[in-house]
Amino acid sequence: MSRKSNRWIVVAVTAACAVAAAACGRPAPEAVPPVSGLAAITPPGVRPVSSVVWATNRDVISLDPIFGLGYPEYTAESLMCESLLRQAPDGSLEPGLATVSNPSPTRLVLTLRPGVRFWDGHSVTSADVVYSLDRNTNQTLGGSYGWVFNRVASITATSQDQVAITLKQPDYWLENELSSAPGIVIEKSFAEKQGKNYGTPAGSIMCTGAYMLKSWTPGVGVVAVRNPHYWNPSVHPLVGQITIKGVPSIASLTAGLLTGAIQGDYGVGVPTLNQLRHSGTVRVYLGPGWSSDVFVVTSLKGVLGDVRVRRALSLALNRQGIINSVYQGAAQLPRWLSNPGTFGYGTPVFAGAYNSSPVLTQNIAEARKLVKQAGATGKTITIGTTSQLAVYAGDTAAYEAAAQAIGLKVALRSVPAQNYIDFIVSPKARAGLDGFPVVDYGDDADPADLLAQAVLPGGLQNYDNFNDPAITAALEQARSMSNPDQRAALVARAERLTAQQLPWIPDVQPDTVLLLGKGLTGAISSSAYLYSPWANSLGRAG
Amino acid sequence: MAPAPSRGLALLRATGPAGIASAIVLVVAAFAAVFGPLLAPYDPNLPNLSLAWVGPVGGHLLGYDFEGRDVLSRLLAGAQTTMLGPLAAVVISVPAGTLLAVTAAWRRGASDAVISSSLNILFTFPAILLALLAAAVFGASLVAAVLALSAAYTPYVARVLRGAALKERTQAYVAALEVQGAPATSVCLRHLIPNIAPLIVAQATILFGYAMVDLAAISFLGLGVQPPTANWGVMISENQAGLLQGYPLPALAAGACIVLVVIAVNVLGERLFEQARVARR
Amino acid sequence: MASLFIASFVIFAALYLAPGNPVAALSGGRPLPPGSIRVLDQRYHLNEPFLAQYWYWLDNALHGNLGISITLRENVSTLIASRIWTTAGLVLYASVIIVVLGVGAGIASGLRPGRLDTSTLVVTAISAAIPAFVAAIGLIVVFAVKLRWFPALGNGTGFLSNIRHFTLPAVALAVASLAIVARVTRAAVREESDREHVQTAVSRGIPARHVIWRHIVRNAAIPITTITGITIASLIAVAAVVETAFSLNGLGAYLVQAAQSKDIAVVQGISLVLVTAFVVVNLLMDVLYAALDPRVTLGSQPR
Repeated sequence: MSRKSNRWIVVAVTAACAVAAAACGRPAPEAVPPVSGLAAITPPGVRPVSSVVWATNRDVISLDPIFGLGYPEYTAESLMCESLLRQAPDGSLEPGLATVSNPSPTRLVLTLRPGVRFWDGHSVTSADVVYSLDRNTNQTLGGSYGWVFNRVASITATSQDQVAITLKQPDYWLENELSSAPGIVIEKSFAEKQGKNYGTPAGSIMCTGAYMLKSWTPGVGVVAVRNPHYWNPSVHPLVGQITIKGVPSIASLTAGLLTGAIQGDYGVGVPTLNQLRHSGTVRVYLGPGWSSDVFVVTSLKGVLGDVRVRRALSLALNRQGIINSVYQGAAQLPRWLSNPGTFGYGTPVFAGAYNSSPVLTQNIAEARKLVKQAGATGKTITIGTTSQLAVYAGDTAAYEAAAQAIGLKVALRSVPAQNYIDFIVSPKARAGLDGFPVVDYGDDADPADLLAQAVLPGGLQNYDNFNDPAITAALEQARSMSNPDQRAALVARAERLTAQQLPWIPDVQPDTVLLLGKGLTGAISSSAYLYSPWANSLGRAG
Repeated sequence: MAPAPSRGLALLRATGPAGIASAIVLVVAAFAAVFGPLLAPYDPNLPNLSLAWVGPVGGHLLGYDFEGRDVLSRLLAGAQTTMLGPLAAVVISVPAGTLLAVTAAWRRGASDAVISSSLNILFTFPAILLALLAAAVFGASLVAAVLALSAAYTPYVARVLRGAALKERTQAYVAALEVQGAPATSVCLRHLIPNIAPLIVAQATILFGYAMVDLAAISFLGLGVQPPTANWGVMISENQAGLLQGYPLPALAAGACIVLVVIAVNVLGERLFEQARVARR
Repeated sequence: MASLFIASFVIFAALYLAPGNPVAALSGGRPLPPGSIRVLDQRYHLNEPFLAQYWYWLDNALHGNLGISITLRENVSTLIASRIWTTAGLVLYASVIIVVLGVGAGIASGLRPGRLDTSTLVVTAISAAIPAFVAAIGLIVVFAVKLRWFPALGNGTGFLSNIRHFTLPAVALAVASLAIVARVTRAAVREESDREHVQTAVSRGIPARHVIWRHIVRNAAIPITTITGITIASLIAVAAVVETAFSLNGLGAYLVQAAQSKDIAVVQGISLVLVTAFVVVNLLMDVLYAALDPRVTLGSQPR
């Protein structure tokens, strides 16, 4: 009796071992071939689809564009709402709801295009535009984009379809921002009636896009339907209904994509790309990315205050390992802090400067020398991290390996994923930290956007008063420079200097990952999807 | 009476092959807990992303984990925190729960009301809140996690035992002993508790398994054992992406270790207890 | 009802002391301009002393208003209402599995020492040692992706569809909790089987079925009922992991999210639901106690 059950146990355990051994790890590592040819768009769809379920990495928590919250909110807002100007998939600026002109360096005139209408049929007027822009700077609403307008003197409606913005100083970054969330136009009368319910689950929204909001139930999803009266006659939305659903679990996201329950996703931090690539039900598209995976240095008074130590850490980093194991090949080695996918203007100038800058590669011997020179051997750096987000856990591992290889010690401060944001917004959470990894992105295809936040004095993510006068001068000049090529040259100079000073250490430049169910095509495959209508060409392939 | 060690061995033999196998597993596990870090063939804490997920090759019997660390070394190094924490949680919560339950059942009335209400309140605390609180007060660490788990398990133990103790209280022999003037503590210790002891043992052995899993969950959030310290349960969580990607070995190896130890504790615990009761009669 | 008050106070205090900042969750990763932070702090009374904040919440709650979620800016009552049926359905489904399999296995193994008993010990030990998310991943990979017997995510529409969608999550939820129910049942049944009155009945030749029901199970019923009751009552919290893994919009997952982003009103609201659930289950247990064993009078149970 007992002997029999004993044997049973042994058999069970052996079987388990066999299963485990059979499902072993991958063979010894091989280099993943570099990805070439990132495309910003997929071939447009031609046939209609009745319904598409689109996944995001968590639930949407707001549809009010003045709150810059995250991927799910941007994805939902850009699907249904439109900005004054628009970013093309390749990042270049084009007219959106309006065209723009600069009668003088300190004056912007936005002229609404003929026929632009909200979903309820009302025409878009300059009053709506002024109202929408003013909401960003209205302190009582608590929006995130107030700083975008810090060079604006006034915004006035000069006629039924024209709005003039006068500036205290020339600001050529403003146009880019008007093509992003701060530039989204909503209907004034509708929003005023909604009051504080606008953009919340209790209320609704009123926008101009090719897809309009049908319903929003937190936890279930945002449901948008085709707008049969879209103001632009050259666009024919092909999908009957798009449901944006928060799918926080990688297991159910992967299962949903493999079984066809989910038909699309902009894969943010999806570790199962290889499986999806090899399945027959999903296609993986890689496009130019706008985000940067970086190590933000939070204290310039500690061990990382010495630029030699920062350079050493950067030289010791195994970036190819991060690309292979964390991103499964969907990322590039960096040369600058900003992602080359963000060259939305002055492209030849940027490309030239970028290609002549050195790639940040690994050189452990050199790194060790620098650490010794700086007298930092044996010192400890404290890194903020979380085990719950695979990208940050992987980045942290790479930094641990790098630090140990050059004689530094690492202490980790680990927090739940939900509290990772505290590192970004709360000085108290950053106390005692030397840095933390983060994947950050700007509002538009302009390298200066993210760069400014990091290196300008007073920049929102400049945590320890980094100030390099040369970098600051280049960026401030760029902001006032009307000629795009000259602007690009100035920003390129700032990027090159930043890559030497390393206030943030660039890890890798992630590509945009678009996962589409087989048979579907037409979604934008660059990061322009965050701020521009990404489903206007979505449909079934021919 | 035979001397204690051979009595113990006789008891062990009486638990049958399953019991003996469990005892062996536990001895090996305890050995790993004490000497694990010294026995580890490679550095359990040195990441190398180029080796992430690579299978068993060369001297690496169980391959590498998601950070490129040797799995076997991490298992050996992690034995300590994996078993010590849950052991402490059970050792704190089971006696505490028993004490509260017996007191409430014996005294009834106001004492029962107070104890039961307090336990109800403790019950409704989501475990995550307890873990957050403990980490806030004591700093995120194994100690904090153990305290949170103990606080979470005590109401469970107490509720079940209270019901059983209440029923036991109404048995005829208790009234008889009370009439004879036996003091309450004596009746409880010598009669009541031994009669509800099977429930106590059942809960203790299962809670040990729960504690391993819960400790891992708390640590994965950053509120318990801190990375990069190895811990079997955290290894499962850390390597869960591998389960989906086709590299299940690191998570499964850690899971197998936990399962083996928990089975061993349960089988040996129950069998020893039964033999002890039989021997006592 | 006093426990409701005390529970809400203690939970509020715990959340207040815990690290983190509700406004941070609203910032989406961009540091908010100080003006916006001030506005939000004012709106949600975040800078006021602890007791004042508690009083605001309590005052509203007593008037039926559970407040507003800081993150979603929607009424907490609405947010809970839209999620409660998902969690209720899941917990109910899992409870059925736990009662049938857990109590069943416990009784069967308690009555027959031997191979069945050892197997039960081993199986319950394994199920206690498997984290819920591992069970979830395993079930998804095997039954949803490879075998396609069940859908991978979502709630489904309509009763039968709901059952299909909830099967895998309910199993994942039940697996972990099964263990303690089965083991306590086994211990209770074992204990009763050894009692004198049972031995007497057996030796007197009373048929086994009669002995099992009247003598063993009924007398073992109190601890069995207790552990089943408290296990079921606590499923909401355990459900968090399963709900997240299967992307179900339930209260458990929402509670954990809200606790970590310090969305105080939501945590309080859901905790109230939890406390009420406990109170209801306690009442049910009391009634069952009295029905099963008249010697244990109702009066000795506290409200």
